[in-house]
Amino acid sequence: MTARQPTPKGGADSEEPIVLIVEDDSEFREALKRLFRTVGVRAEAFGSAGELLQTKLPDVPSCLVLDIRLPGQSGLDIQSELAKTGIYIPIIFMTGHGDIPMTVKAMKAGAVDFLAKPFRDQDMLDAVVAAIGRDRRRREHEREVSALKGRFESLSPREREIMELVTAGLMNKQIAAELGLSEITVKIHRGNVMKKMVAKSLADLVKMAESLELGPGKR
Amino acid sequence: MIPKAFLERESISSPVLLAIAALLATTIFVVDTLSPLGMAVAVLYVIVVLLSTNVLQWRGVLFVSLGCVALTLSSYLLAHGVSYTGAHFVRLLVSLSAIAITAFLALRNQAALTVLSEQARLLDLTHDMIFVRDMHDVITYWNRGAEALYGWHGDEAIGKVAHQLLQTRFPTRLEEITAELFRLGRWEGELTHVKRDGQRLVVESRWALERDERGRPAAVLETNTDITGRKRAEEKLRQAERELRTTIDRIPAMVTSTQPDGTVDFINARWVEQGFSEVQLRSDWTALVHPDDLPEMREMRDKSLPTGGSYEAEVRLRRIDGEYRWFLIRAVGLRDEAGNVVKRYATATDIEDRKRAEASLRRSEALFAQTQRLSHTGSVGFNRSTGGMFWSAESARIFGYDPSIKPTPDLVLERIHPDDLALARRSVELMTLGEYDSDHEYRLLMPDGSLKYVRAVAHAVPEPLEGREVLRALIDVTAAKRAETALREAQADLAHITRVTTLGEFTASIAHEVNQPLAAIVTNGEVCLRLLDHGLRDIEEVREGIGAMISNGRRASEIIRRVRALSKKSEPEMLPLDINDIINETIPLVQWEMLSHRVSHRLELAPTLPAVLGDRVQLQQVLINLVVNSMEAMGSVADRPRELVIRSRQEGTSHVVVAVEDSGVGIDPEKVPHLFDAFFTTKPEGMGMGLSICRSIIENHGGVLRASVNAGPGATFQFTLQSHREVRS
Repeated sequence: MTARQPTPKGGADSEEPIVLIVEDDSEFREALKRLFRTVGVRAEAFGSAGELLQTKLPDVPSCLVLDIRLPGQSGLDIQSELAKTGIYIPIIFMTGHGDIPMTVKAMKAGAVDFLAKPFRDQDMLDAVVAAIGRDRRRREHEREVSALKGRFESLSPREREIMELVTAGLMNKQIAAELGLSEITVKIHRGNVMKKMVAKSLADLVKMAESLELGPGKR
Repeated sequence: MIPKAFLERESISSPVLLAIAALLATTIFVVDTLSPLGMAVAVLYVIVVLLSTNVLQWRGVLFVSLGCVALTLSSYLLAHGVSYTGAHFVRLLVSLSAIAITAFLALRNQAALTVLSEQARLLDLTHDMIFVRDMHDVITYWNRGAEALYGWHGDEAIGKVAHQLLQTRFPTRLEEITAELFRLGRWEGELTHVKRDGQRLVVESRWALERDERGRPAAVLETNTDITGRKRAEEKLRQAERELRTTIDRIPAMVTSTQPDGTVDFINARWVEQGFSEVQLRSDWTALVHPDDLPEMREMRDKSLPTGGSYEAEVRLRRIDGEYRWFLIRAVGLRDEAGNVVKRYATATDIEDRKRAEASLRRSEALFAQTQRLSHTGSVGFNRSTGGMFWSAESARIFGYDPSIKPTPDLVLERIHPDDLALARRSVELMTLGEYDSDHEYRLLMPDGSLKYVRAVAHAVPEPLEGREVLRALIDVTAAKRAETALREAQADLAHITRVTTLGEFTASIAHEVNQPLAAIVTNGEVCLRLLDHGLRDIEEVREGIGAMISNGRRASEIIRRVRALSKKSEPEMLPLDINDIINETIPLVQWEMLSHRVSHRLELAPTLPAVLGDRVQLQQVLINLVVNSMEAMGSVADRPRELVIRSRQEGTSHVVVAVEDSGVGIDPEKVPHLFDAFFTTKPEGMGMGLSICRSIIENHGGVLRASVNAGPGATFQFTLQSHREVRS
């Protein structure tokens, strides 16, 4: 899809995506808004980090376009603030001249894109589209994970133990020895786990465990 | 012999006397002829002769005598006939001899009396009072003069005791006078007599002693001349002299009169009062003149001789106590008809105090001139009533004129630089109007083309000086001005260098500031292009986009202009400014830097402020420096917001204050006094020039820059500038 077309509305959710802009320079803020308006992308602009953080973020696919330097809290502050509250909205940073150290920092913190001012409008639109797609996928993934979590929650403690050990790659016999159970009991629990987790195969279950971030190290 | 009183006048009229004489002669003739008496009756003719002498001249007397002789002979012949014997004849002879002798004696006496009476008449002719008194002082002669003056007739006076009658007062004891009279035969002196009418007379009396044949004192002839008038005149003269003398003694000067040969014939009492020895003065007063002063005084005196002997000299005279004091000698010569100086009058006035004052004045004048020379300060005075000007040597030197030239306002204006002429004219005008308080600076354009800077200061004096004089000090500030200019230039250079250095550090910030509008332009442009590509569906959006591009282009250009201004090396240009504008213009230049330092800023600007006179670039530089300083002070702060507040406010009616407050580490109070010193820094990478330059910039603006520690964390730097209106007035 390209930005020249109207905003795609298909996908798992049909909510209209939104671009959130934080730019202290009002002139440039207006220019950005004009750009998104022109291409039919819904955009909301803020003058400072505080304004953004006080706003309830819409529950739609979205991305943040942040100037890396802002008065008060900077773009990086917003990034870490959001991360702290578990919001992983994709961030596109706009950088000015000579912001390399900050850029590196932002990259490490998981920014999705960097655009040096002045940028080509197409680059910005492409980045936004990519970010929104990414957010949409993230949202889907999050939804899957939460379904998975619900199923995992329905497991008994023993079943969770066995699932962890299975996905860690242990044989039934090993698991039985580990837990002091008979091999038969392990097999029954394992079958229940596969059923409750709606896993088609062991590989499927392993993937689920990964999504749930299970594992010896994670406990 | 003393003439008898009866000699002076006929006491009995002549015919009666003659009749008596004739009758007597007839009686004697009858008796002699007829009487049988045997005695010489004819002797009685003697009486007739004597009577005749009183009334007849010598011829008459001779005739009477011969008549008497004839009568005697006739009687004899009648009685006795011609007989030449007997007692009768003897008696006849006796009688004849008696008559002859009497006639002879009478005639001789009459001759003597004639002489005497003529002499007495002469005595009567004189106005002098002449009288004769015997040795018992009884008056025996009293002349007409005495009658006229004393008022007593001769009859009244004669026989009286002279000294009682005249109530004589003698100058000395009478005995002494008498002794002298007897010794020398004469005496002269002044006596006082009282006239009949009680009036007192002063007479000059000359006494002559008359002695008889045996040399015994017989009488005293006293000739008196009335000198009362003369005496009164003399007394008046003496009185006048006394008064003059008193006056001369009273005048506050010492007065001397000297003979041409130098003999002192008068000195007044002041000399002695002033502690001079009269004896020394009279013996040789020039000996009292200080040896150093004597030649000059003599020279003056000698020079004055041809022109009347008047001269003046200032000399030191030695007092009796040995102390020398300064005196002003003024001498005037008195000349006779021939033109010779016959007398010289001199006054000596004590001028010691004046001399001392003069010496002290000379000293202070010398000191004053020296001080003026050293400090390049001259003085110029202007007398409002006469319009006259005067100046000190140093003033003349400053203006480049010979000190002997009489100053005029035109001479001064001639030297004033053409550009300052209007100001100088106005100042001269004010001076003539009596405006005392002024402080101006002018440039002088000297004939050699060089420039001089002078500062003219005049201050009001509570009481204007005599003659309404205005005094002003004229300070040649050329050297100071040059130094000041050099310093200002150096400071401007340094300010420029540090400014450029700062700008260098701000490259990123500046680039960001320029980049921002450029980015907006690019984006807006692309949007417009996009809209155009889609067939101008929304022309309003295109218009807005282009408008935004234009305004952002202007914005970028403005930032570049500001940066250029900051980096340019230019003469400070003092213009009326709104300090809030300066703050608002400066913020963008440091904003990016503040963001980098994670410093937030807040402006608290007074809505309206009076304009200040200042150089935009330099004031911006100060602000940038203060902001950077504050940012750096907050670099290590992690536990609290890094906040920078810039405030502006009016203080009083005439001052504007700008404060930059941070929440940084603050300042060690001990270091506050050194904060503004050059090369003082607490930062390892700092040069220590920033604050020092800020301070000199603010001071050049007539303001004050100071630092203080906040009540809370951090420090505040603030500068005060005078409002433009205040500066101008």
